[in-house]
Amino acid sequence: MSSDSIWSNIFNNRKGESKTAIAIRKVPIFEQLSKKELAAVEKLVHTRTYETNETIFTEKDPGGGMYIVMEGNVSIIKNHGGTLEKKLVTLENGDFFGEIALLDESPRTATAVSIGDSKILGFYRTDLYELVERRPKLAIKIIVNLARVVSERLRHSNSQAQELREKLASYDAKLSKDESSA
Amino acid sequence: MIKSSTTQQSVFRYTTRLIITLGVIAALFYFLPRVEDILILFLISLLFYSLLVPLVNNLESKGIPRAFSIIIVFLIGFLIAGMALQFIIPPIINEAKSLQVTITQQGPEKVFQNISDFIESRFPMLDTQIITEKLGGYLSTTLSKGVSVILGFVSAFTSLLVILFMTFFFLKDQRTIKKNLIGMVPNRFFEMSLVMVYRIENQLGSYIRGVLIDGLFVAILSSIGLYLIGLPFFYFVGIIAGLTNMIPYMGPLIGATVAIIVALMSNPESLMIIVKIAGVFAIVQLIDNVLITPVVVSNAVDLHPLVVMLVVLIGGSLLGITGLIFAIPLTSIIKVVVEELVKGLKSYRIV
Repeated sequence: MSSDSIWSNIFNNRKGESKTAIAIRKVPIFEQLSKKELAAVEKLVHTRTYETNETIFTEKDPGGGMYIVMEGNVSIIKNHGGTLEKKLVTLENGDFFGEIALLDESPRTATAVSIGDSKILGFYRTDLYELVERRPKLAIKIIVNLARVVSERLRHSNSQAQELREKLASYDAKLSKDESSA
Repeated sequence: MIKSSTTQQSVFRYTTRLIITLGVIAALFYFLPRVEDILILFLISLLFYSLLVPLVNNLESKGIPRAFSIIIVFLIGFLIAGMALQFIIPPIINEAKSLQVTITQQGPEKVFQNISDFIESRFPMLDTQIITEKLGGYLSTTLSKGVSVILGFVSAFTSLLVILFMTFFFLKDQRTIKKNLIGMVPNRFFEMSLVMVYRIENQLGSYIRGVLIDGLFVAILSSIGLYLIGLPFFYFVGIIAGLTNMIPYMGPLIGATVAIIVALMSNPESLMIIVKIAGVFAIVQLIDNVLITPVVVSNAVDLHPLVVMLVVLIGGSLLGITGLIFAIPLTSIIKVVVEELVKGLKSYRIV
C-alpha cells in the first residue's frame, strides 16, 4: 500500500462516517459543515436507486432539488426540439447537479438520465425549507455555499459571454474589413 | 391491431383503477363507523401535532434538541391544562353532568314538551304534536349522546395517554415517518410527491391551526356572551358553539339551537332569552367574521354552501356527532389534497 493511499485513508475515510456522509461532504454546497451538521443533512437526504436509462428528471419539469451521484453515471441531455437531443455531460461518482432547483421551482433546463444502475442522493428544496425552519444556522451555511456555487457559475458564464462578445466583435470587424476591401 | 390492443389495455387499466377506488370507498364506508374511537384519537393527535409543531420547530431553531423542545411544549401544555382543570373544567363537567341529568331525569318527552308548550303558546298555528314527535326523539338522543361523548372524553384517561403518546411521536419522528412514506413512491413521481406533500402539509397545518384558534375564540366569546345574558350551562353551550363553528354556515345555527333548547328546558316561558341568545350569536359571528377569521383562518379551503350541507349530512349519518364536527375539516383536507395533486400532476405534465 502506497503512502498516498494511507494518507487518503486517514483523511478521507473518517471513522464512523457513512458512505452517504462522505458523498455529501465532498459537495461544495455542504462544505465547512461540522460533523453534527453533516449528520443532520445525512438524515434529510433521500437515497434513490435508478435503473439503466431511467429518467431522474425531465427538461421543462418544475425543479424540486439537487442530486449527488453516489454510484454509477448520469447523463445530462438537452433537447433541441423533436427527437434531436444533445448529451451535454456525463456525471460520475461525487458529481452533483440540479442545485438551482434548491432556490426556485423554475423549469429544468435539461434532462438527467441514469447510465446503467445508479445510486443517487437527493437533497430537495423542501428539505432546505425544513432546515430553515428547524436549524436556521445550518440552513444559512448551506444557502451561503449555494450562493457561492451559483455566483461562481455566473462569473464563469459572464466570462464565457464576454469571450463570445469579443469573438463576435472581432468577427464583425473582420467581416466589415472584408466588405470594405471587396 | 396494435392500436386496439393498446385501447384494450388502457380500458382494462382504467376499469381496474375504478374497481379499486370503489372498493376503497366501500371499505371506508364499512370500516369507518367500526373504528370510530381509534379514528377520533388519531385525528385528535394529528390536530395536536398541527397545533404544536410550529412551537416545537421554533424551540428547536433556538438550538434546543427536538425531544427536549417537545417535552418543554408538553410541560407548558400541562401547565395550561392544569390551570384549566382547576378553574374551568370542574364547572364545565358539573354543567354537562347536570344537563345530562336534566335530560335523563325529565326525560326527552318532558324536555320537548316544554319546548312544544313554548312554541304552542307563541305560534298557535303550528302543529306542535308533529314537531315534538319528529324532532324530539332525534334531538334528545343527539344531545344526550353529545354530552356523553364529551364526558367520555374528559374521563377517558387512557385515551388521553394514547393521544399524548401519538402526538409526541408525530412531533418527534414526523421527518422519518414522512421520509419513509414518501420513499415508497416510484422515482417518476418522487420529486413531485415531495413538493406536493410539503404544500399540502403547509396549507393544512395553517388551516387546522386557524380553525382550532378560531373555534377557541368563538367558544370563549360565546361563553362570555351567554354568561352575560344569564343562560344556564353557558360553558357547555359555549364549547358546543366553538366546536360547531368548524361547520361553515350551519355551525352557528346549531350552536344557537343548542343554546335555545337549553334555555327552554330551564325556562319555557321566556321569549326574551331567545332574542338575547340570537343577539349573542349574531355579535359573536360578527366579531368572528370581521376580526378573527380573516386573521387566523386560511382562505385556501373555501367550500361551496351546497357542498357544506351535503358533507355535513353525510358525516352526521356516518359517524354521528363526530362526523358532523369533523366532516368539514376532513372535506377541506381532501379538497386541498386533490387540488394540489391536480396542480402537481399538471405541472409535471402527467395529466
